[in-house]
Amino acid sequence: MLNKIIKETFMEVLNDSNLKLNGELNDDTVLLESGLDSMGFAVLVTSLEEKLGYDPFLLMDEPYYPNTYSEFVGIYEKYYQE
Amino acid sequence: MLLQVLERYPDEHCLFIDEAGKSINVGDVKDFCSRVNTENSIFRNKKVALLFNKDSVLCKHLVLLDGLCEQLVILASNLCDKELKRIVAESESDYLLTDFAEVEVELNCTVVNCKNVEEQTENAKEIKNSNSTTWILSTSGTTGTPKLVAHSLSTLVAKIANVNNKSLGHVWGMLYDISRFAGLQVFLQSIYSQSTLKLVNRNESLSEMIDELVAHQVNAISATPTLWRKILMLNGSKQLKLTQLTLGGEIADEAILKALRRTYTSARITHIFASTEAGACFSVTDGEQGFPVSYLETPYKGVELKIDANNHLLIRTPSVANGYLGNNNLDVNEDGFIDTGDCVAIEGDRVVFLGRESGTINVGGNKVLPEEIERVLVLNDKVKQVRAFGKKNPFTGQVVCAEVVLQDNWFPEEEKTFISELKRLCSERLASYKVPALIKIVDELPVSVSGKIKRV
Repeated sequence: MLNKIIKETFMEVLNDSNLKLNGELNDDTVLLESGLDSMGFAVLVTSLEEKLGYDPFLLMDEPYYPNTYSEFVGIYEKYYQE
Repeated sequence: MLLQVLERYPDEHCLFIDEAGKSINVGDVKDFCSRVNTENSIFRNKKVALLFNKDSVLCKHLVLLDGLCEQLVILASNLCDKELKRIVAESESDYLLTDFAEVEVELNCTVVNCKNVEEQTENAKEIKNSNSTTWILSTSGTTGTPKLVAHSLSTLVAKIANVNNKSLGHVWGMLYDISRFAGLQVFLQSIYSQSTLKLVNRNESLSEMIDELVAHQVNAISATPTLWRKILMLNGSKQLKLTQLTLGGEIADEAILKALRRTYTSARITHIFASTEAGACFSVTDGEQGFPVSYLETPYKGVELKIDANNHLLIRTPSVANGYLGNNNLDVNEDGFIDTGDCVAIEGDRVVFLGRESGTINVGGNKVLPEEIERVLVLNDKVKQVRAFGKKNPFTGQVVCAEVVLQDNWFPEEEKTFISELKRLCSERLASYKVPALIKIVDELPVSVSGKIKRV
């Protein structure tokens, strides 16, 4: 469920920023090579906060910078708020 | 003069590692300078703008020209034509020296390719220089149009540590643009401390650059917190063995400092607070955010810090730039203190940074004025009022957000579509980092006692 929302939002942000997906968006996709740039990630996190009601990066005690798409989704799953 | 600094070092000392991995030694650079620096050098006492694709070639020419020409301005290789023209004109440059095969912009100066410079100087007599060259830098535009700021080598290096034992082993990675203040500081730091500077190809991805730095055993890196966050997202970052790690350009929050301390356990972490006008001001090396309150009581390495009645941070330092070009004067009060425009607060034994007074938003090191976004959004005639502001973001430090109040009694059929329309309006007229990440429709905007829209 979360994965679906995250994937949709990822594609929305790519689209709005006029960027193209590099290959496919799957678990092993390296975030910084996906086609989305720093600004794109910043917008993605902001959009997800609007949709899901939380920003997991703000909730973390130990800062963590995800490498792959699955790690990114994992962070949202870990800090999932009702 | 830079060449004088190099003369203190053994010829075999490796100064630069170029984009292809080749070492450029002190001896190589000295030879280059003595071949090209002659009595009839066209650059003697002139104003020269530098536009280089390759950092390694730029670096050699910086050593050559410092002390030889009257004024130097380093241009970013990716500048748009309009900016290129403006800076060359404002700096009144006589020459544009470049390694690009062609410069297709019409400029009011003579364009010289660096290959031609070497050819012209055969058999001419070498001559010693003595100029104190003015170095011109472009500010990051905290108050609108970027301004040109004049520095001398002494103001630029005022805060750079000289050679000490620690620095002899340093291999710096150049991730910044040398044309900006931060990049220039790394370049100068490396030269003055007899370190080595690894230069990278600007067209590579960050991942490729990091791999190169790992391959050349770079152990010192200076970057903005946003760039550090990106570096930590790459697998290659785990292979870097850093002994020196520097942050600057943005507020370094607790999250990034903690992540860096954890990843690079042997590194000395330095956070530099600097502005292009005031020069590198002061640094904090305890790895904690903000700076110690003790810096307010006792000047830290000659830098005096004060907090004024508006909670602005004021600074007085010997490295204050020699002034803006043109009529703008630096914002210096009668005691010689510069108002940095940064709002600070004392929390326990630390002074922490809250943000810019002007409400300036810092998106990954890029400064944005809320008014710029507000001006664009009101172009849509359904928008009555706008407030743009910064929101904390884990990737870029802050992002731009906006709240809009719509015209009376008008409601969009589909809110989501209307908001997309507003975002598109922004992306057509503004750089990507200025486009609001979030736009919300609200009934009214918060207003301060004086009737102004509240920024913070």
